[in-house]
Amino acid sequence: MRYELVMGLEVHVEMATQSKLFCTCSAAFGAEPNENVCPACSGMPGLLPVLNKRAVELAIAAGLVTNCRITPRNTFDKKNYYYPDLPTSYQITQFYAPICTEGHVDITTAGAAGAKTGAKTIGIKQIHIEEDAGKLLHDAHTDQSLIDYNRAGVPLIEIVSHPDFRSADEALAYLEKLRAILRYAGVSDCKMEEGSMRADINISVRKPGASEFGVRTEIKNMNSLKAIARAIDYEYHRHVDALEQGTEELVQETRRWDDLQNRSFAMRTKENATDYLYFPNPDIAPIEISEEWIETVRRTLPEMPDVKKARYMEEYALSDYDSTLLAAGKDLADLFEATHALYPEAKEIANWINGELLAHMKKNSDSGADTLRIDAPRLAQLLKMVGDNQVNRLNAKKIFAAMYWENADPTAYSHMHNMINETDDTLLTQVIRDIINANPKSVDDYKSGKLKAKDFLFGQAMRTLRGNGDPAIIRRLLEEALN
Amino acid sequence: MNILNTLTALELAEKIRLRELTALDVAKHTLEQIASDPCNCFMSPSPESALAAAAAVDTQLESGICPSLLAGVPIAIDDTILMRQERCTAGSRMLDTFVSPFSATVVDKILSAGLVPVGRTNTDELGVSGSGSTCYQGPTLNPRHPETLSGGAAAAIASRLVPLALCCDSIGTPRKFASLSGTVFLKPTYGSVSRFGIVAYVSSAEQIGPAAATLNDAAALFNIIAGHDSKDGTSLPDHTPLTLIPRQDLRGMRVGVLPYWDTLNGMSAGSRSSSTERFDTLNTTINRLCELGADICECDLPQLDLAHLVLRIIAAAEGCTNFSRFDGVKFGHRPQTITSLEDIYVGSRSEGFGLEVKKTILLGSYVLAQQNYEKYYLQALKIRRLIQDQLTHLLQSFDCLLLPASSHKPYHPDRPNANTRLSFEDMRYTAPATLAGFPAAAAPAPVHPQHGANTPGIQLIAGIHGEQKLYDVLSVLSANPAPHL
Repeated sequence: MRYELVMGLEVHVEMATQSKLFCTCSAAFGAEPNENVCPACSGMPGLLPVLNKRAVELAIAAGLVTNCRITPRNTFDKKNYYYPDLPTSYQITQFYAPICTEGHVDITTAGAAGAKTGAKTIGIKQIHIEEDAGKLLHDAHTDQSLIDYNRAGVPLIEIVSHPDFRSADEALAYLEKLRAILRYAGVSDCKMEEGSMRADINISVRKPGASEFGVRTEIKNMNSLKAIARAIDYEYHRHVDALEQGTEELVQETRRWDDLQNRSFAMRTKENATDYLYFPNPDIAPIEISEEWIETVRRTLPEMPDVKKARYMEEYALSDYDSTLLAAGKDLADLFEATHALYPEAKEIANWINGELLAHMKKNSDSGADTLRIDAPRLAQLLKMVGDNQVNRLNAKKIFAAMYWENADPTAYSHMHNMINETDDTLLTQVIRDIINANPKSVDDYKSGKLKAKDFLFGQAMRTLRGNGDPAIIRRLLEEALN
Repeated sequence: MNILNTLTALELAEKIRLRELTALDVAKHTLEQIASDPCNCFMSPSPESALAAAAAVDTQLESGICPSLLAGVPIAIDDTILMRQERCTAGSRMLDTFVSPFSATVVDKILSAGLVPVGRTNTDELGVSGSGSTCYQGPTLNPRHPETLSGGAAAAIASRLVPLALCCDSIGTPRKFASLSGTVFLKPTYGSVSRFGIVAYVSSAEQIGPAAATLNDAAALFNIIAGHDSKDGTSLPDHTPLTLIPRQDLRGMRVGVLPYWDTLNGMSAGSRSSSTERFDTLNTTINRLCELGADICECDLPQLDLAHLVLRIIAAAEGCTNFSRFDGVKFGHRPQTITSLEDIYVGSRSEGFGLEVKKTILLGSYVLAQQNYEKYYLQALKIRRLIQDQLTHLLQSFDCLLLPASSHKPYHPDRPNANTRLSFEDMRYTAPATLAGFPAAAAPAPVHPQHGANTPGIQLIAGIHGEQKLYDVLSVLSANPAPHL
C-alpha cells in the first residue's frame, strides 16, 4: 500500500434519558411527528433551558467507560446557524468546556482477509454534551417541507477521537466496541438504524512515515457499519487517485455519502464554512461535577466487557472466542449469566447463545431488529430437556427457532409437535428388531465388514421414530442387536 | 372615580379589601382610562382577561380570602413579558400576530396574588434601543413633557393610568424612563425574579422589576414577583421578603457617591442645562442624605467609563442569538412571496425587524465572529468581571451607591440618530448595576427648588439581595421630601 489511511471519528450518541436535554418532553423514539414537543423545544420566545441532570450523569458514565478525565466545571455554549430543523437557530453544545477529555478505547481488529490483526488503543480527544436537532420531511405530493421536532432537544454526546485509525477495520472495531461499552453503561441503546448512533468520518491519506497529515475530508452522518466500510474504501481510493493520477484537486470539505450510488458528494468546502459564533449560553449556570458525584456514577456502572470476558474465561473455563462473543453485548452476557443461574452448564449455554441465537439475530438484523427475543427461563428449560435426553439436538434447534421467531414455549412446543424422545426400552428394542428383520442385506453387509451399513440402519430407526430418539441410545441398542 | 387616580396601589388595595370599592369597578375605570391614553403607553389593552381576573378577586374577597396586599389592583405588563392567550409582540412587527401559549412566571405570580392585568405596555422593539421610539406601533410620549419620549410602563404610571406595572430591565431603560418621568422602578438582583417568559434580550443581565408611583407600591409588588423558579436555570433560592416599614432616619448607613461629575461636566454644550440639573439634583440629594444622618463618601470605580461599551457588546452578542429564533419558520412574520428557504429567512427578518434590532444583530454577529471573539466579546466579559469585583468591593464599605439614572437629556420623536447616540450615552448610568447583577432603584430625588416637579430622579445600587437597603434609604428620603433650604 503506497498511501497510509489516516482517520478520526466523531460519533454522536443519543443518550437514554426519559426526557429531553432542556425540557420535560419525552425523548422516546418513534412517536407521531411533533407529538413530543413543547414551547421550549420548538423554540418559542420566553423559554429557558433547564438542564437534565440525568443526561450529565450518563455523559459522566460515558467518560468513565472511555477512561476520560471528567471536567469539574462544565459550561454550555450556543452554536449559531440557521436551518429549519433547529428551532432556536442555535444548538446548545459544549464548545469551550467539554465534559470529558483525553481518554482511550482499546480495540481488537478481527483480521479479515490479510488485514492486520491485533490490539490497538484509540485516543479519545473529548466527549461533549449537546442537543439534537429535529428532522425535515419532504412531502413529494404537495412539494412541501415539513418539520418534525420530536428529536429536537434529545440529549446527545459527541465522542471525538484522535486521528488514530489506519484502516476501515479499526474504525468498525472501534464503533462496535463503543456500542458495547455504551450499552453496558446504560448511556445509549446505540441503534444505528434508529439514528441513536451516527458517525462523522474525517479521512486523509499520506505516504507512510510522513509526519504531516494530508488534505482532510469529512463524511457526515453515517448510520450503518456496512456503509461506513464502503465510504472509507471509496474515499481512500478517491484521495489516492487524486494524488497519484491527478483526477481531481483535493480540498478540505464536508461530503455526503450516497450508499445507493456507492459514492460521496461534496457538500460544502472550508471556504463556505459557517462561522458558528460560539459563545457561552448565559441561560445555563455552570455545572460543578464533584469527585463524589463521579464516584456515585462509577458505582452504578456494571462490569465492562473486557473485565467480564476475562472473568468468563477464569470462572466458567470458557474459551477466548466464547467469552469474547458473550461479553461483547450486555444483553448476551446477561442472558448467559441468568441462564447459568438456572442451568449451570456454561459451555453448553455459550454454544447455544454464540451459535443458534447469534445466527437468528443476524438473520433478523437484516429486517432492522436486533433485540434478543430469548429469555433465560425458556433457554434453561430447553437446555435441560436436551441434557435430560428429552429432546435430541436436531429437534432442539427447531424448538429454539420457534422460541426465537414465534415466542414459543419449549415444553409446550415440543409436545405439540411430537418432538419428545422415545425412551421406552421395550418399544425401542422392538423398533430395532423390526428394522433388522426388514433389512437383511444391510445386516449382512455390516457383518461382512461394511461398517457404513450400520448408519443406514440407524437412519431407518430414527425415521421410524420420526426423529424422536436419543441418537446415543439408538446406536447402543442397534450395536447390541447386530452383535 | 377620580379618587382612583390619586390613590397609591396599597391604598387602593385596602379600599378593595374593605369592600369600599370592587376590583371590577376599578378595572372598568382603568380600562376606560386606557382607552383614551394620549401617550400611547399601551400596545393592547386586555379587557376580557382583566374583567375576568377582577371578578375572580371580588369573589375571593367576598368569601374572606385575601390573596395579597395588592389584591384587586390593576397592573400593566410590558409587552416583552409573555401572557397566556394574549398577543405578545415585544414591540416588534416580527411578532405582530404572536399569541403566547403560556405565561411568564411573574404573570402567574401576580394573578395568584389577585392583581388585575389590564393591558400590555409599549416597549422598544425587543427591548433593544432604549429610546422609547422603536416600537412598531409608534413611540410612547412622556406625560410630563409630551414633546419627548418615554417607556410604556413609566408613562402609564406617570399618567396615572395604572398604579403598577411590570417591566423588563435589560439595559437600564426602565430606570432611565422612571427617572425622566418622576416614577419608581426597581431592578432586582439578577436571579431573584424569574426570567421565564421574557422575550429574551440580554439573558445574562435582564430582570423583570416593579414600576410604581411610590416606593412602597414598588416594594410590595417586588415581594410578590420575587422567588425561586425551577423553570429558570439561573434563578436564585428564595430570599427574605422586604420589610415595608420606613426607617426614621439614616443614621449608621453609609452611602457612596460614584464619580459621575466628570462625565456630566464633560458633556457637549447642548447638554449643559440637563447636566446642571443632574448635578444639582445629586447635590441636593447628598445634602438631604447627610441631614438625615447618612455617612456620605465619594468613591472611585476605575472601569466606570467602560461600562456602557461593555454592556453594548454583551447585549448585542446575547441579543443577536436570542433573536435568531425569529426566522419566520415556526411563527412570526413571513414575507408574502416565498420561493426558497432563504426567502423565508431574509424576507422575514428584513421585513419583521426594525433598524435598531438589525444593527444589534450585526454588531452581535461581529463581536462573536471567530476573529473578533477574543478582541471584543471576551474582553468585554473580562471588564464586566472587573466592574463586578470593584462594585462588590465598594459595597463592602457602603450600604449603597448613589448615581444618576440618566443624563436627563430628553428623547425626541423623529430624531432617531440623536436618540440612538443618547441612549448609548445614557447606558453609562445604568450599565454598572446591570453588568454586576446588583439591585438598583430609580426614584424621584428630593425636590430641588429650581427644578420643582421636573427634578430628575436618582439611582441607588446595593449589593446582591440588597433590595432592603435600597428601600431603607429611599423610604427615608421620600418620607422627608421637603428640601432643607
